Amino acid sequence: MNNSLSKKNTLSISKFGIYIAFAAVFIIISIATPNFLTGANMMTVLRQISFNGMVALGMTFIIITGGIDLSAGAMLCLAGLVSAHYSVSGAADESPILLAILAGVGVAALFGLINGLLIAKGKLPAFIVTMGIMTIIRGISLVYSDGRPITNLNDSYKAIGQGFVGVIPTPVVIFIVLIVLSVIVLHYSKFGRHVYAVGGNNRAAVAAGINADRVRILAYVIGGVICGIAGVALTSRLNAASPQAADGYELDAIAAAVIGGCSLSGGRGNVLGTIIGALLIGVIGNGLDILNVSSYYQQIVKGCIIVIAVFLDRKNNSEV
Amino acid sequence: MNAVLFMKNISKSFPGVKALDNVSIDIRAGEVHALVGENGAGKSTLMKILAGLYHADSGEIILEGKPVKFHRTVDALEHGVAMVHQELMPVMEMTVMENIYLGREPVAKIGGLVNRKKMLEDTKKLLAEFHLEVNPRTKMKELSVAQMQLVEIAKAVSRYAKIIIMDEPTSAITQKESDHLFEQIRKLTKNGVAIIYISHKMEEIFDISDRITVLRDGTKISENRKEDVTVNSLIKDMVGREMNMMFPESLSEPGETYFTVKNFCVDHLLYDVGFSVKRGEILGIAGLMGAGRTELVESIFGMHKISRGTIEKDGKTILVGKPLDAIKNGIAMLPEDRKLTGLNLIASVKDNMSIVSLSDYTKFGLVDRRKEKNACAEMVRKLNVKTPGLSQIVESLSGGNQQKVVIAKWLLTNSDVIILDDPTRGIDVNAKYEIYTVIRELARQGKAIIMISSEMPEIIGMCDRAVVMCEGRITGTLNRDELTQERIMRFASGITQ
Repeated sequence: MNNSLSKKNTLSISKFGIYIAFAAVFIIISIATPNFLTGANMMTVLRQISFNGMVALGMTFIIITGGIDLSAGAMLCLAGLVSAHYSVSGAADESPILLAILAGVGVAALFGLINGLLIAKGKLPAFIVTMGIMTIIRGISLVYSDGRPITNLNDSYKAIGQGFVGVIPTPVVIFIVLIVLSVIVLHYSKFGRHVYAVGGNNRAAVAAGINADRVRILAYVIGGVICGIAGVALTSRLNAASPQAADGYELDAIAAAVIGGCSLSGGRGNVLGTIIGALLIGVIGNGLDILNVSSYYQQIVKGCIIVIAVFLDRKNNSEV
Repeated sequence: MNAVLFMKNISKSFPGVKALDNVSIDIRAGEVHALVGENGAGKSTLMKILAGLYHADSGEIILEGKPVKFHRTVDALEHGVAMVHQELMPVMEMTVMENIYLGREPVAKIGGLVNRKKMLEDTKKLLAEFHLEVNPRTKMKELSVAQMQLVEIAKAVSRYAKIIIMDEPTSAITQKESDHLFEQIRKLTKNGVAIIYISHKMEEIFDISDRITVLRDGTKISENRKEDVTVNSLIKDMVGREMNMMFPESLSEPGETYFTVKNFCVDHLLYDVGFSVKRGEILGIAGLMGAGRTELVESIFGMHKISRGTIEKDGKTILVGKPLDAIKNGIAMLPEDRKLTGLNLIASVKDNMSIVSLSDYTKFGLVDRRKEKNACAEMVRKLNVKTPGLSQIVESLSGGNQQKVVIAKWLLTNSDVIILDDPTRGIDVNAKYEIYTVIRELARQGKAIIMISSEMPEIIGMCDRAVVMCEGRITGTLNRDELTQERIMRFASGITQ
């Protein structure tokens, strides 16, 4: 009895811990730096975290099924290159911008599908599969671009990443739309329930008549599609697609999801938590930037946050 | 003859159960001492205490005249007590010799490296003693179960064990292989080793043992020399408890035959099993652990590949290749292990209850949460699930309430063939009664019910008819007026005449 009580307590502390931590960090940075809490800087922060946030949304689906996707950053990069290829300005017949977007998103979705098939149907460990796919995609990116960045994109394409809707940067708008869609799919749809069921107890899910393989595959496809969208947006924002782009994005996304309460053993996590996780990473980065902390030190800080988050995750699981 | 071992007044409780109550036994050098009893009688618990896996709450162990305390299995091993477990625990990826010398590898005098040559020589000698023609360098996973069994025994012998505990060693091996095992046992006892032998099989108990101790509900019922007992007196000792549990009145009369299973075969697990259930009938499936009952119902539900067999429902043949097919055909199954296959422990009461019937509350892919909540709340009321709320995580509920959540999950599907695999396992008496009431009510509604139970009083108290299984076969069918514990036990032990 005692035992179960204390279990509940630690659970609720770590459940709200992320919000408390975020609020604390936010207040400390606001006090420490005069330039943090300004409208312009807030928009900058939001735009910065949009890209990582998007990838983290897809990662949330995948992690809740009990999987992981190390190829997310590479997918994002290839999607950017492919879409950039179709939207170089001055091409003989300028392709419609929609084709550029669809091509980029499509190629990422395809690799998501490959990941899902290998993991669900091939019964291979997600870590190894997506690591292999990551290397393959990075290689394809180099071959496809001949190792050089694609620049000189046309204006309508640039608007995706550099434009504004009112005062809000377009990538932030895209991010918000994806958040809404993710919440609907994960928390309000039948498919979302199946995602939790498969990650929480695969055997029980199968015994309940759920097509667990299909749920897994779809989670990776969703991850791919979102990476594709993020890739297009990032390329447009940077006005260039580089075969080295988005290096390590998958790790930031995993970190955001785990900080936000996703359990790497599956079955736990939610969209709001992941967003807070992404915000926390982004705000700390921005605060350290303003404080003129060298990016070398920033990496150390980020690493520490990840380790602490995983530690909390493990502690959570071992106590349940 | 002198006893090498006394276990005196051993008691052990688990949360909610008294597993052993003041049990004493003595073991003599060179004897085979059989330990028998129903599932849950306390045999394995007693032996796990002797092997250092569990700690007794009270009582003492006296080995060769000296009181000993085993805190870990290593302590028991060092004192010459070794256990060969029912579910073998070898390291599958390591070789036979590495397994035998695991944790005590012979080490070269200089350098501290493993002396593989000595290990190989010793293993060869050891295996030769057992006439076991296995290369010491083969990986454990390449051996048959019987071979693994013998390797485990060889391992015990190589530790100069004076007492070897064997927990149902023949449950997974063929007749020929068990003959071979018995030969080894006789050789060991000739050398003064004592064997404690747990088994459900009457025939082999009378074949191999010298003395037989019967446990029932955690207490010792009798201890006799083999010559002084008969199969009948032994079975009476094993099951002779009073029918002290209450069962609700039957509310229905079985109607016409509704669900039939024919010629079910699964490699090495089921051999040509068939039965049929009527509308409104509760059909029991009795048998001892490992008889193939769970495998049978899991196969019906599409969880195992069958090599042969057909299912008929309402006169039509149906095809079930996976659980979803079974569900679509109106079959529900409450699994044996609710934690393993019944529940998503880290999800809420509501999410667990609605997961199978989600389509009923879903429009355009979106779940109508209010409709879902109402349906689940209704179930909580109907089944009297004690939970603070629908969003409570299932893991924190008691066993009985967890089981009710699984039942609710399947009741929400409106299936009309309901398979219950040991529905009251590990549940307190009150919750049991409530679950019995639900089962009766389902029968009254005309559903066909198949109920596995490990508790014979439950089969007798609840079922209109029962089939009894032993070693993957149905060994007998008993109508309501024929159901007695003695008859069930005879069939369950494979005595068919």
